[in-house]
Amino acid sequence: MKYIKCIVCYAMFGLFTLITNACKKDFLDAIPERARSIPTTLADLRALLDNSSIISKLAGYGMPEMSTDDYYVNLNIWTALPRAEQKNMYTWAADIYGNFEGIDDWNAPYQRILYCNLVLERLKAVAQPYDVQEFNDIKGSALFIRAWSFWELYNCFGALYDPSTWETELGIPLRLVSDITLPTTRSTVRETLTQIENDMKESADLLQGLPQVKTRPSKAAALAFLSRFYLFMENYPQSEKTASESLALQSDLLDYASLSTSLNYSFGLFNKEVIFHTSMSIYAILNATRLNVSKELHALYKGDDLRKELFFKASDGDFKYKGSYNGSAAFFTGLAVDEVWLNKAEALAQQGKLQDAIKTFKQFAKFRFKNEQDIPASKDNLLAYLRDERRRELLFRGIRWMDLKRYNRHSDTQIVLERSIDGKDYTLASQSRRYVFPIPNEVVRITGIAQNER
Amino acid sequence: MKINVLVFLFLHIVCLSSLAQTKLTIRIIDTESRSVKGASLKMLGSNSAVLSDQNGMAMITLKAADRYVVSHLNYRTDTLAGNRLLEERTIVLQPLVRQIEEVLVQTGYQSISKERSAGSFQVLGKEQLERSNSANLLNRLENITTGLAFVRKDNNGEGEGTPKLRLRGMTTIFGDGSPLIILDNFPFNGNIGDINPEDIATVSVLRDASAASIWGARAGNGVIVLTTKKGSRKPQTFQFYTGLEVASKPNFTQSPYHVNAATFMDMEKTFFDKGWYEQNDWTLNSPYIDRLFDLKNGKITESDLNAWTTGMRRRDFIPELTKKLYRTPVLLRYGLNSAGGFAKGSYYFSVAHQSDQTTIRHNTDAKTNVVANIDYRLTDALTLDVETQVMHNVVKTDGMGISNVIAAGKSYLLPYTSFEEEYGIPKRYSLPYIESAGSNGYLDWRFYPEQEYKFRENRDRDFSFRFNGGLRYKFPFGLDIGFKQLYTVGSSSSGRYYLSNSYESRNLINQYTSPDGIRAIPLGGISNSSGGSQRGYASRLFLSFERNFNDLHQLNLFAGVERNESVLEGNPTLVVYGINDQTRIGASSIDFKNPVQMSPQGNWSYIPAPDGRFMLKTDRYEAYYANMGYTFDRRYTATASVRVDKCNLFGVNFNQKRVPLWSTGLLWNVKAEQWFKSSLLSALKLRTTIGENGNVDKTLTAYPIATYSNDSFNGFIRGTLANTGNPSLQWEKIRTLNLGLDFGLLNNRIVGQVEFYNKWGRDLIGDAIVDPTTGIDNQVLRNRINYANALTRGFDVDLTIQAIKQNQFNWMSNVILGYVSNKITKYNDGQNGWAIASYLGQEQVFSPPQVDKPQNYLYSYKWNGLDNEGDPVVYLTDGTVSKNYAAYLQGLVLSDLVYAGNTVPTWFGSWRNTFNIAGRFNLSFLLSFKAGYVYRRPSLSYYSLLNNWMGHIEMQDRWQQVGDENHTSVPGLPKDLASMTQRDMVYQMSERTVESGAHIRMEDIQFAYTFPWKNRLFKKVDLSFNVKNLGILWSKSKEHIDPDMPLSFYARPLQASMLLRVDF
Repeated sequence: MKYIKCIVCYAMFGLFTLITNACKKDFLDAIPERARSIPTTLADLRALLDNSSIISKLAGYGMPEMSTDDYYVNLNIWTALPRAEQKNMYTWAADIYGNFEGIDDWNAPYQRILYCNLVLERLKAVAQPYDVQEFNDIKGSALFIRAWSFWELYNCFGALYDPSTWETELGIPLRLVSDITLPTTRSTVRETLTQIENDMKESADLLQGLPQVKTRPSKAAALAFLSRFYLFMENYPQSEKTASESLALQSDLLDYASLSTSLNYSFGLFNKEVIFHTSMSIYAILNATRLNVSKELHALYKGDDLRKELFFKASDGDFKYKGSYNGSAAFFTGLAVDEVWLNKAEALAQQGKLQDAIKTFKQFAKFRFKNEQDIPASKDNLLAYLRDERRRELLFRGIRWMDLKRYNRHSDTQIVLERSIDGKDYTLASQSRRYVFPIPNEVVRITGIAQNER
Repeated sequence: MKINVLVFLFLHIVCLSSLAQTKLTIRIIDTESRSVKGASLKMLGSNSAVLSDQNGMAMITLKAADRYVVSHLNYRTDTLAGNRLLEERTIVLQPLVRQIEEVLVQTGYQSISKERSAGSFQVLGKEQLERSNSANLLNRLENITTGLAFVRKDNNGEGEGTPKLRLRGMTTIFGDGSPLIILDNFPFNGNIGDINPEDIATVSVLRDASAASIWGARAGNGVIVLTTKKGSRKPQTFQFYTGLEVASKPNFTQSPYHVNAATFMDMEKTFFDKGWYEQNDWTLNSPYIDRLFDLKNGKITESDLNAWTTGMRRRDFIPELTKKLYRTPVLLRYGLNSAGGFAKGSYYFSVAHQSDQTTIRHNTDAKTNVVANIDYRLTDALTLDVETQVMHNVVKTDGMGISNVIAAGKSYLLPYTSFEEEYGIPKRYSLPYIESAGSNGYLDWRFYPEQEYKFRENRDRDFSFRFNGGLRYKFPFGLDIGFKQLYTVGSSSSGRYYLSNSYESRNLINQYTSPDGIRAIPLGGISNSSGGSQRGYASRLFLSFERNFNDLHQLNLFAGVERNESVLEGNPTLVVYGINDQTRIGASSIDFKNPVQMSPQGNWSYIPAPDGRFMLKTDRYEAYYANMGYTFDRRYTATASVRVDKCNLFGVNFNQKRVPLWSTGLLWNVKAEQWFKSSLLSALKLRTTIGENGNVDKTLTAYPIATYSNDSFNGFIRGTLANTGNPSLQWEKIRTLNLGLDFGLLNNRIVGQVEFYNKWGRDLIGDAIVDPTTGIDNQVLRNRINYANALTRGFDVDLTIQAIKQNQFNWMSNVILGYVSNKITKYNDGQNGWAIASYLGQEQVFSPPQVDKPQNYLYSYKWNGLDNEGDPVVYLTDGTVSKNYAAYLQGLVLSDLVYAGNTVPTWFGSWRNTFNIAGRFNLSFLLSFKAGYVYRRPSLSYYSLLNNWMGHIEMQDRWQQVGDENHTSVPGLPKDLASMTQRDMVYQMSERTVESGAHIRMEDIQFAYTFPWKNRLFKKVDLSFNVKNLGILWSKSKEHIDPDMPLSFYARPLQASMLLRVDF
């Protein structure tokens, strides 16, 4: 009987201790899962921008590279390529996608833009008090990533820049709020470029000098981007100014002479030249085993050019690329100091400040060549030299396409791209509308926005 | 005037009825025609009764229109119509024992008599649950539960895994399709396999809306209620049992992937001659390919190679693999339980232990279960009941099965793999590379399958405690008030400890060594461990009323409120490097922040870091419900239930809507009607219910939600948008209509039940395709809203036939037949963003939703045969024949594919026969069948053969010369490397590899014997033997593949078990 009393006591104790638990008032307000919640704090919003898979890693932007003249593929590879749209980009076909949907180059940047818009909106609701510096840094980062994404989209899908038509030619849809029910419409080229410029200028004001880790935007990155942007806009004084400001924050170059040429990948991830890290998605046609470096580009490297051994390895008469600042086969598409040096040199040369340009270039070149280089002294020759140098230095970074568009605006620097494969020849005229890629079919179908004519 | 007419009519009726009034002697007997003395017979509603005499005679004044009640202490009370008594003048009383055995359906809230419920239930009692002596409760339910399907088709490779349960199909698209499991009054979130089947008294399966709607928003896929054994007010009994299960070793020889070494090597040679293998420093090639390269490079001579090859061509890894890594699995279990009663209550205690040496050597699984159930009357009106369960489980996985031995990036073993231990096997990189690595300062990079277990300590431990108790106060007039409480607590931990000599440690250390020999991970062992805990509370306050009015009206009401909380906590994964094997002290600081250079590729990466993530999941529900049943005259029953659910998942707006879930039902006991007379039909009932249940997709919420985790790329915490928020989110609703017919034939020699059902799923969560410019890419980030509809329909048949019933011999036959089909009736059709490949797969666990298609289906490429070069014939969109397979596949749209069919059985059933001789010998066998579905069998892929070492027996049937195309579909050798994958796909995903799943299987044979001993020592001794997985007796397809698990490496092994039960 004693045992039974014990059992009864045990049971009663158990029952009554539990009752208290059932009578809480805020019972249904519990957060279902701590690691899944509504982003509300600065840390939550920062985390959204620190998502490397969305923001910086393998982040689309392959279409421009697939269409450049920096590479070719061999016929056997070509025949077996699984994706027709990649072949279409290679041959500058009028219709690219066929019935293929889910275009990474469109979807990935717009997903980043959704993240940024959500962060910018929710920042307004962050409870006081908060760390103002962190607040500004997050806001600046969101603006940077949004502008960066608009830029990538514009470079693929926006009409060519021409100050005489930019009020009417179509840019890209500028989604500036996160509400997914709002309609999608296309802006003009002017609106697109102005948005990018303003967002980036604001972010340069808000951001700190250098980032904690290079997947985060920084003032140096915003300024480096602006130097690229103004070069594209042919606003050379601004390009020079922003490049100098960026270099004032970060200017160290890797000494290529000290690097080993026997590694599979010559450069490390987040190396000291990197300002802002992003990398390109993996596309079958650009895969390291399939892609060969254009022979014409390879021929641009002279014997004393350190990059020749660091960037390439020979393979059955072709050249493979091993020079990505991603430390792997994936292409680096971010911002690095070398580009800013070259931006500055070109901006100076374009303004006729030839001595400064040569001086700037030489500061850069001593880390790239075994010997001191003879730099052409005349403006045209210097610019031509710098154009080649940009190709030599900035290959497979998503920059060539933008440069081609720039050069093609002027009759003396126009380039006609040519390619032949499987017995057929293809060309891309310098003023071709095919420099602008078609908008993905499903977007046109769902939203009714205007398609780009090719 | 009117009043006069009424008075006249009234008088008339009184006269008429008095005319029919007769004084009669009624004989009251039992079922064996013996007279019953002392039975009371009275008119319904009257207070005076007559008692029967010694001869069972009772004198009473009968009126044809009245109804009479007969009752006796030992017999079941019965109500009879006057006119029937006038005619028959005999009353046959049913012994009361039957009434105690009355089938009670446990809904988890109350027990309802099956007699008086309109719903669709199946109750599995002792007889059914003990038919199989399997140690796993799930195995005991399979094939004897009507409407319950076990889905195993995603079992891939090794082992059986846990099947998915589908009760009457699945009426959700992205939600959870498995039924809700209730263990003693409250939901059970654990693994059913952890419950000791010997402790389970009954299993009630609630299939339709009626009882299920009382479980509300989680009951849309049915409810399975497990009830543990309880004591009764009887003298104490003890039962000891011990069981043994053994099974055959896996049989790899029947695997379709098993190819003999000579054939495989010939194929390798052919590929080698075409120059399709590459040799670089580290890429893993087969030993034969390595030697062919050596020959080519002049490192060995032709005769060296031939000497080696001759031996290898005769090799077969299977005998060695099965001998060295596998064993006969042995499961031993034993337990003791005791039940009984005392003056104020009853109890059931049970202790059980089970240890399982699984088929992979050095892997074991041990379980301990304790159950204590007590029922105690504190006062005459107040009862206390407590159910307590403790489960403890330790799983050790140190051993190596075939899936652990297969090299990284490969899918199968080379047929000539050697397990000779002094060599070891390259598991990741080429043998020449790992051999040279040894001299370059790397650790030994070989893998020793037979030794590896010595260097591993892999343990998974689970512990859970469940306390479930309640108080109930009985008021004299049929009202009970009570409350019940549940408290569960549990912990689980998973430890993966690799000693310094283990392959895991050596490999990781080597991989994180730079090509110049700088080690980033310190020497020593490596451990990965994680753990977590769960706890749950539930409180229920209820009111129950049950009363019989005049034996004519029977009313029961049940209402309650409930709160339920379950919390899951997880600790971060702990990673420790450089552990000393003796002192077990690991390195205190590791640099996870900076990428390091790895071998052999020389790429840069971070050292695998702890995830640093605490998980906390809280599920809270609040529910209000009521349930009512009214029976009139044992003939008509009406039931109704309603429930409102709230939870913490959706936010306030949702909870404010409070959409109630409900059900109603009607039962008509036709047999009880006075006018119903049939000598053939001994029972006839019609039932119908309709109601609405719910289902939840826990991943969705009304607000933008981000999930947080560590970003291994930049070392920060990353937030990932899980959804952008859907303010109009709500439950998925499932409306169920059930029509049932219960019948008994030939004095219940044949008892059957037929049910038809329709389940309309409404507001199901589906993907709404959005313009990707919004940031919703429709692939990873999707816009899921309540808008899709689906329809599931089917029927269940359950027949029990007492074929022979004699004193010494009994033959009982049970037939179960189920048909279930489902289709999606509303979905955003066509452009829903799925790649063509997602319609074709082999496992096809998920098929893209499509209107008018079932939930799981398969498409194929059209098959046009082979041409005279052994290549599959395909037509491009412009109609031309082409060998450009890449272009062909790229050009395909869904309408070019051929619909192959449903991939989940639509017909399934079983037939079990039980023979009983002299009440002692019991023999039973079970046949099952499944039909109405297809599956895609594995087939030959030249790519896999070349790259993944996975052959296929079809190799011998491949096209080899002109003319072969007339009798084979297996393509010949590919001509080039580049289009190989696509060419393989054209065949592998074609109509030719789709097989019908229809088959009949011999599930098991059980033999049981009850020993004739009955003495002071033993009350009862039972011994049973069971042989399980006897194989497929017939299948429509000619392939030797188990259609339930086509991708498995081996068939389910034959299993034999024994169980001895001693009652004392």
